[in-house]
Amino acid sequence: MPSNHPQLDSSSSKLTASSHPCSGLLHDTLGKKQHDAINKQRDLAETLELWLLFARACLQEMERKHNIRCFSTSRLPIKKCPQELLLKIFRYYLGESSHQAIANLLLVCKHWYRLVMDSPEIWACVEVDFRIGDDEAHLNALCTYAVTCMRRSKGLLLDVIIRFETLEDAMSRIEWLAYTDAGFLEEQGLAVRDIVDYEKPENSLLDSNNIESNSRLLSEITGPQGLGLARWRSFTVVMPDYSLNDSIHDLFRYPAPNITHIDITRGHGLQDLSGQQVKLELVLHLELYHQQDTPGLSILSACRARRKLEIQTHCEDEQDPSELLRSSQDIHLPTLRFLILWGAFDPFSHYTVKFSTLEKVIAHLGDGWDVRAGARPRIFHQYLPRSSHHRLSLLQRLFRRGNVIEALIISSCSPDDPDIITVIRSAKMANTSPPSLRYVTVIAKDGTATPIDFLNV
Amino acid sequence: MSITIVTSDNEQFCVEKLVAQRIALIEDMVENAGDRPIPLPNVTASVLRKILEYCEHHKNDPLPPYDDGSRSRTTHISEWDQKFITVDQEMLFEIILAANYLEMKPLLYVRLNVPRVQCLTACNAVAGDIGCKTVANMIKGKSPEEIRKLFNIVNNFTPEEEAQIRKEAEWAEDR
Repeated sequence: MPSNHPQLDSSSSKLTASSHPCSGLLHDTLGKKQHDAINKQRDLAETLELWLLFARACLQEMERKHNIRCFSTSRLPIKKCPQELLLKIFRYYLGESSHQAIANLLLVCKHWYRLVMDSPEIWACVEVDFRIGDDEAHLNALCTYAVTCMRRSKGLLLDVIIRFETLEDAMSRIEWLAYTDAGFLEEQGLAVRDIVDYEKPENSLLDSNNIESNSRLLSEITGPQGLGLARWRSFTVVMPDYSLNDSIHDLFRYPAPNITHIDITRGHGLQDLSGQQVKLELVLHLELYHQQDTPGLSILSACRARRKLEIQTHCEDEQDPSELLRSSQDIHLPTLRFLILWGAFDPFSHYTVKFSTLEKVIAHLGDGWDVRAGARPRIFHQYLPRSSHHRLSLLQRLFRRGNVIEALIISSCSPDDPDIITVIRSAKMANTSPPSLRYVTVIAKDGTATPIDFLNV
Repeated sequence: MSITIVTSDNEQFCVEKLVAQRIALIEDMVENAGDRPIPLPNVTASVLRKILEYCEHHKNDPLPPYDDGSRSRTTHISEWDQKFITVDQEMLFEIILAANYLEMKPLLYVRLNVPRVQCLTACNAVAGDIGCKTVANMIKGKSPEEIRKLFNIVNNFTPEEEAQIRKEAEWAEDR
């Protein structure tokens, strides 16, 4: 049945009289008046709606300010902390815990929630652990986490941390779960004897579903066509001890033009870089942990902008370190300022190295590190090994070599250590201490630093 | 050579110039103040005493590792520093605030004449950093409820708001 009332034109939301059955002047006048009145009411409603929206926004802002004011004027100690210091505390917390612990910060109170949500720099990190046998629900949740981080970091460059669980770690975890949750192995379709035999769990746990879900999560982080890699600022990866599926490997083959920090643990070190197209000339910080061999370090010369280099070497007990070094090429590190060496042996021992701008060396090597010709570090920091035989010979070498060191720092050593006193005395008598040496400081195990007046020993 | 510093509660401290130079704010004032005492209106005597204790103990410290400021990665605190920072919460946050205000730097930078800009970018405020790391360590491994209890923070979320945040951050449930 047709209505006798004026109709609303749904497309324009404006009143029309087209459907009115009457016609003529009277109708036109009445219709126009009604039309005007209803339009006026509509305008009023729209205005009120706008005011309501505005009032809501004001209330939200007032609530936010109230939360901050309540927080900052409270007499509780933490509430005296300005936002920049609170953020610094959060960064330390997230650096030490998993980045996913950010959820704990969100749930403390409205002030912390707002602060974290409004701080893109806090979100500029994606940290994921790929555990063997993780179910799809867990990996989907991780996808949500990665997407949240990338969205909330608002285009800032990202620190990406990816850890692949090793088979050995997975076995320990499964073993532990088997003891604490009797039904776990059954759910996984494994028998207790499989724990001993690694082959079976490897095949069972590295199933296609798991790899597919892993690829999906990695795709979220790398972005479509790998374009997301342009946002990576640093990349820390713990490689697995099994071969990665090709689809996962492919994700690492895109260009990553903004990466300045790379940490690689396990795998084949620098060979892994060739997969990811990192602009080596932009790399400022390179941290490598070799477990199998030392690859051709000559590639380091390509890292033109690098200021800091950290290398850890490792060899099995039965291996001869010299066998692990492959070539004797030149390495030119024209911008390197800070060198940190860890591990079993000097990675540069078979190279001719040019460190024209080296300023500081920290050596954790048991046999120390001989300052090379051309290197002029003003500061040399040596961590002493526990063995007393090594300590003495190492200290003697430190005082003999390096004629540009201004400050020598020796950690894990007390000021009254007989070795250091003997070495300084003999260096003075033989006049072999570096002529530029101005400060010798020893740092005890509790962190107390003591200067040694080596000129008057 | 020493200089005199006056705290907000009017206590005077006579400080060795080399130690005082470690505090960037004071270093700036020393040039203009001449022999006059330097006022520190935002720091109380008890806090300054603690900061100076830190400076005195660490006056022979070597340069901290070169830090490019990319990521805050370690919350390691040495044994002495742990003892030093074992104070009540009020003092802990006072130290953090004061160290931040005073802009402290390692003393060896002063000795080796490292430019101030490099000092401030290459290392964070030292005692303040220990304080921030300590607070981060206090939070570490705790649930939101435990964090609130630790710092006496009131949970001002409604149950619905809290449930919504938990739902949005479901990825954090299985850590």
